[in-house]
Amino acid sequence: MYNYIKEELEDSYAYLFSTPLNRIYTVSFDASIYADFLESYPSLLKEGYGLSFHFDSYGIEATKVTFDKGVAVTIHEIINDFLESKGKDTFILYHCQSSDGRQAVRASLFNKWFNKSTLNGDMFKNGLEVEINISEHEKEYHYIGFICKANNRYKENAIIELEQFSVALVNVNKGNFPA
Amino acid sequence: MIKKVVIYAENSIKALAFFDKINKRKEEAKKKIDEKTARVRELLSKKSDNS
Repeated sequence: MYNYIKEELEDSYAYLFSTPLNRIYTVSFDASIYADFLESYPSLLKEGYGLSFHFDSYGIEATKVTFDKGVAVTIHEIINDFLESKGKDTFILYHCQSSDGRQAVRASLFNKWFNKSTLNGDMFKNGLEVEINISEHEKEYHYIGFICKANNRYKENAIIELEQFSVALVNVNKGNFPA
Repeated sequence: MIKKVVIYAENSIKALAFFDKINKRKEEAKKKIDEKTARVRELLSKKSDNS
């Protein structure tokens, strides 16, 4: 695990750490990212924070490795620290960034990170895969979901809300969809 | 628990627009976070160079 710094910003929280591969990772939690999409989902809205993470390279990047377990463990510890600090009923909402088409890789890595962590039993993750058929031969995938403490009192409500969201997404052309 | 949703062509435009909106929102948030954490990131990179 790598040492990290926690920074409280005006409307969000950022955690930063560097690795021997000359990378600086930023993990952030922001309550406003999804707020106006969640009006119909009170549990996720009330205690939900959007999760984002990315890295920047500096200097000469060391030899690339396919999987840095230290990063996985550190991100998981950071998520745990955030949940501990905000209270056990907090939800962390995620969506794998898809603007560069690499969302499937991100989702797979995120699952790998989550499953490798020793904190796994203490947390609950519920993910949803969205397949959008743009045409007969063109598909786009999106990965969304939430993470919370296994003993979050509103976990069952959140599961139902994610299911309601799924149904709303299927019925996207019938209205009541937050887009 | 629902694990997968499949959306077909006639509904795809609105669904794509939704995810596009989320992507843009996240890009903006990333820029803001990067600006606000610039000093710490610089310190971290210097510290790592010296170690």
